[in-house]
Amino acid sequence: MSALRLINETTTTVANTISITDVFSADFDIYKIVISGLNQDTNVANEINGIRLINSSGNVITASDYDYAVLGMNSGSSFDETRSTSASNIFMGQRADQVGDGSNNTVFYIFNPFDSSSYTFTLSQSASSDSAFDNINAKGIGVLHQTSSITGFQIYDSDSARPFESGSKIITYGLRVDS
Amino acid sequence: MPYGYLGQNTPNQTVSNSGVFDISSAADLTKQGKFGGSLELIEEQTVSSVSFIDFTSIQENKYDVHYMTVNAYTGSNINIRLRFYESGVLETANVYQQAHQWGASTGTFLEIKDTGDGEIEVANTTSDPSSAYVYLYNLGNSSKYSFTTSHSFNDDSDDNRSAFMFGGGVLPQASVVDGIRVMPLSGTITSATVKLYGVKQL
Repeated sequence: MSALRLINETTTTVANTISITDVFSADFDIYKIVISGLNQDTNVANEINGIRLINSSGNVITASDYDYAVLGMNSGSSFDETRSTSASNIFMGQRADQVGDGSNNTVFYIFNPFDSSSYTFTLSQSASSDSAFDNINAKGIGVLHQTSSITGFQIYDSDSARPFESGSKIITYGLRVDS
Repeated sequence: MPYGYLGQNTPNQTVSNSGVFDISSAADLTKQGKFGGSLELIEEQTVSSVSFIDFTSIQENKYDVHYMTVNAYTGSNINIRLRFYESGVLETANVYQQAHQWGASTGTFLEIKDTGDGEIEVANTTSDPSSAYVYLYNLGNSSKYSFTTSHSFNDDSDDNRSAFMFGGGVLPQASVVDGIRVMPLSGTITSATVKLYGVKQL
């Protein structure tokens, strides 16, 4: 039996926000989230805002308490660095388009989300393409500097005209450590 | 019968339980995705003196995401590169796109990128063993492109340095990928162990 334990599988519907709730608990300290084939519902080359965390009260944390740093690796142009120390989300360098024009695919880890005495950290790596940028990949880090108990997360795009497509999969796993 | 773990130091579990797993309980939990690990080994190959390593039964219909590990990959020109089979035909045209960050302990950092290459790189080095992991996405989806993300490392004793490379690539064709070739830039793979897993989904 491997240490990776499937917790939740969510199939997206057409919406600007994809909320995955009640997936983090005291059972695990580290979670792995796999996003495959995330598309936009419309014909648009789009940069995705990223993720926000959901606390144990069920509230999406939108305060400017997130930090992130992302290296964007563009197949057709210079690489770039994107960073913030007071953001309202964790940007992960994701891009997507309609089916057939590209998608986003990401693996990210979340550390200590449920622990109310620790900040919540993220580590991400993604591969995307769209009609504007061909292949663009990203490696990033993030943190919510609040000592909150986090039980879920939300992937979102702030542009209401750019919802995500239905049928993409977001799967959450816990990393088991048996002492 | 209630199901659960036996023995000492039992871990926390999302389902309260006691006793042992009977056949029906195991089947029920497996259906829910709660029984067993979530990295399912598809195939392992340990090779010596080959020109390439092919995985041609990758269960692309079962998994949206595959995971590959490359360990102790050695050879004369041992860049680790990938090509994809589409419906049994190896794609060899310069259609792959990729972008990677390469860095060495000597302080050199490079951008490695291409919008029309014949393979997707995973490791970029010429000597000493390399190791890497690769995620592969949407291989079995005929409507979506097939992507990779990867991270590799090697100890380059010829140049007295260690080096890493991370990034990803894409075959920007909406097609079914039903096989993966692992290959060097040129020459022979002297030895390597490559494992291909499926990442569990319901």
